[in-house]
Amino acid sequence: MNPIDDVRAARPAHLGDTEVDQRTRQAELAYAMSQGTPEPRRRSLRPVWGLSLAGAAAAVTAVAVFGAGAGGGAGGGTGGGTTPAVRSATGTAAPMALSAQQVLLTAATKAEGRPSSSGTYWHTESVQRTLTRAVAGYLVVEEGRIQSWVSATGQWSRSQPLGAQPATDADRARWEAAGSPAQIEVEVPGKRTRTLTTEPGKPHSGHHAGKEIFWLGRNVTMADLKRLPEDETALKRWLLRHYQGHGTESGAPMGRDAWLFQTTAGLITDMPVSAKVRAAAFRMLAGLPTVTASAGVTDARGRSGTAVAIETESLAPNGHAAGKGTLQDRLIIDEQTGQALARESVVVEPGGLQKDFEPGTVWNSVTLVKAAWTDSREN
Amino acid sequence: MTQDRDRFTTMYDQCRQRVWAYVVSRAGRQVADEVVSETFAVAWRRLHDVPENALPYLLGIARNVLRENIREEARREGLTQELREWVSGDVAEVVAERLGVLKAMARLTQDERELLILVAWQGLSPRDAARVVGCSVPTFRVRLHRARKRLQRELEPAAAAMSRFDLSRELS
Repeated sequence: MNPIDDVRAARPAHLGDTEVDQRTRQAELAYAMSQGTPEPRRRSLRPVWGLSLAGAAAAVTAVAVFGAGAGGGAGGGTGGGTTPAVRSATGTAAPMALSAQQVLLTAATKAEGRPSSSGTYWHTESVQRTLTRAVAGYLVVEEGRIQSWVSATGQWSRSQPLGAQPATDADRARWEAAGSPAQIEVEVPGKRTRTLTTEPGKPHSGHHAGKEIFWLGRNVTMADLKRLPEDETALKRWLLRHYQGHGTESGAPMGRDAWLFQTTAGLITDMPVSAKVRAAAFRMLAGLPTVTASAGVTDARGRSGTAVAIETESLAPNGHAAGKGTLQDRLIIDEQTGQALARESVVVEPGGLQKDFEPGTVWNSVTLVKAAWTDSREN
Repeated sequence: MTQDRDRFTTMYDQCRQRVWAYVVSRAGRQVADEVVSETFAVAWRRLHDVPENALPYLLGIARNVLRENIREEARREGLTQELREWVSGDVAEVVAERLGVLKAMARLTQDERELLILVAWQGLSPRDAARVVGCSVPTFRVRLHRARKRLQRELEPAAAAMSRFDLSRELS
């Protein structure tokens, strides 16, 4: 007998295919994803993953308020940035009369009306803002810009850390009292701290040759995107083929609605799909029973739109199974154009890693600055 | 923005226990969770570099984390304890033949054992396993061949002992 077969048969049970317990799973995922955003690709590898809208929503410690209209990312006041949208989610303000279905159908109609554009590159530019708490106690907004140009055969990207700033005036006062340090040590759930700098960092450029640039539950090419169904039922079926019950940041397996919301939001914000497909995606979201809508929601750049949102569980801190809270994952849409403005994660019920924060706190946001076809790229 | 998170979580769910098992087989359970946790933290930062077939890449990270973050002493201690567990299995549960193989593996060098584990327990191709240990594929094949030979030699006396054991059971 082949000794390799002997070895295979002898594997001790505890080294076999066992399940990880949920507490460990949550803690490890939370710890890993608290390490800032994934770095730009360092070298070309066989597989291709879409550069997500803005890296990833990383810092799970983040909490705080970008404040409505805080275009620079440093304005707003603690709690003061609470938007009507979030209050409606927590039941403390009047929700808008319009149903999610109506909002999305309106957006869908607008989207369908848009002329289909073309160009060599699909270009997106977005700014990500993440809140973290400095070891010294005040809150810090960390910003980064990500630009991407995708052709049918590859992706060029450029990302640049824009530096960290105190989140609010009160935070700024505490930062200045500490001597306005250019290096700010911030907390990371688990065992480590991270040092942020107030200065913008150097841009990183990356190029990846390959066709499978986008992620829709699996790698897809631009050609795949062109073939997506223009009918919401068919689109839903197409997407669900790749749904395997995997959760994201919550311990429980992720339900179909939540998974569809995540995937569809990516499609709406990130990807060069036809107006008809984008409209189908809106309609599909509208059909999800757990999706809600609110009007007059302002993104971190001060732009107003309609938010469609789904609630998710907050992450549990490393090593604790303590009471989880609720977060809201929301997509802000400009109804006039049918385009997405921003994706935000908002504290609804403080708990888990967001337990010290006011309801309404936007702890992570990605605002879309540009999303259009172009014939030239800048990197 | 959740694309990265989704992909990372899927990868975690698919690979976490395999990475854990690999670390345990190299340094024991004591340090395994810490190393696994750090491994995935690194993997998150490098997410855009992680290939679709993520396991070999993750094992490679785990190997480095183990080397850089865990003291040699603690590693050896943990491993000794782990190997002791392999060979002290309850005979009622552990088939004697398997026990013999584990005992033989415990007598191999760390490097020899690693190659066999990557191929047999982690199910890696020679190419992927070579990537984990950082050598060329031809070199890997030579080293694997040697490790197999060595295991076979270790198995011979064990096999003999086992047949005696079986015989004694039949007689009783």
